[in-house]
Amino acid sequence: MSNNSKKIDLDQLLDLKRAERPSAEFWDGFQKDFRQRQLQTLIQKESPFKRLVPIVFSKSSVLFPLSGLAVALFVLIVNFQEEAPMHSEYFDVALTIETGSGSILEEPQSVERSFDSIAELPLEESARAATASFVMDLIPNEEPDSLSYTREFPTATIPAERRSTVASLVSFSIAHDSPNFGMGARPQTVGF
Amino acid sequence: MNFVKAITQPLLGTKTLSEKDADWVVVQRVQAGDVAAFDELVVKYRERIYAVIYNMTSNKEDSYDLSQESFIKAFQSIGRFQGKSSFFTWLYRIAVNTSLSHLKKNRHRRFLSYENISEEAGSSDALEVLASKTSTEKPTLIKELQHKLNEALQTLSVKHRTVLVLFEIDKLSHQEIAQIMNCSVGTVRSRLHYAKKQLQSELQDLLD
Repeated sequence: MSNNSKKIDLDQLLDLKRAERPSAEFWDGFQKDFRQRQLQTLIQKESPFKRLVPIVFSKSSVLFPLSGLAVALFVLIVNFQEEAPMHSEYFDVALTIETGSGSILEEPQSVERSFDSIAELPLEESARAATASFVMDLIPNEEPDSLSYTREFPTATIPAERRSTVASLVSFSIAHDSPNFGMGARPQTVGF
Repeated sequence: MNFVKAITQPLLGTKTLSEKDADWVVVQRVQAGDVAAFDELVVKYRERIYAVIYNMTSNKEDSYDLSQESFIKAFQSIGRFQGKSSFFTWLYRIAVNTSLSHLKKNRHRRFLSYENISEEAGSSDALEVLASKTSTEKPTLIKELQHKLNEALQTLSVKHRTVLVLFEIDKLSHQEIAQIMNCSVGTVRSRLHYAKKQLQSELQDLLD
């Protein structure tokens, strides 16, 4: 290979790397896939904790005392748990001696009360709301056979403030992706 | 030639001011609630983002997933983008960081899968010279070269590879690479120098 006067440099070799690229059709699928993922991110509810984290981390002055407090709390809890059985034992013995009634084996009354209060707790509203659902004619899948494909979402999974955004994005996706499946002439608007 | 490129690129910049402004207008539309406008940004940058990730990973399946992930991350945090830097630099930074954490996570799993080589590569100077030196058929030679190039790139450390890919393949300036990688221009230059030296020694038999 080395008996030739012509020489090539690294830049010329890297031209081949630049030529490595996917076909034009690849990008249609890429775009469609992206729109579906984009829709998923809008539909998913963000947990309040997730929102809180960047706020806390943006304020370093809050972060250091807060982490110190967390460590102190952790140490306290661990210590408390280690000593807790001994305290309750002493308490029960003291109670028996003071009142003169009941035995050491009896459970303290406060425990029974706490069980009652748990039983009285109302059902979470979100569980009821999740039963309400709607059918949404979403972006068709890869195969033309799946044009009638529908997906059901409980309305409760979409945050209220994002519903109009999701609806406009679904309409946009259908308008862009449907022509591939011969649905171009069918204008659709999705609303909630 | 590289010297001239290194001098002129930071001065000229690969992105014009109007392009930065045009992106900023679209970003503001997305921030105002027109989420479909983000599609324009994806269409504009998808090929470049995919190329950077592919050249860093040498794996087309991973590149697909990581490109999607990068755009989703950009979409999710576009509300926090204030336009202090160009959208393009910001997006590249997300893509590079996503790739770096993926490579770090999978450093013991090394699997290469190559992308198609476009037809224009058949007439490249390097290929003509190499074809004249050997009796190998062009398509076979292209496959061999592709394998050797990707293997050689993977021998570089992730940081050296990133700088080399961004400068030599994606033609970004030192300044832009420094912004994307959150390091100084000097660091970019030294990493680039080392990366090229190492790559040259890896591809010695092709360059002689």
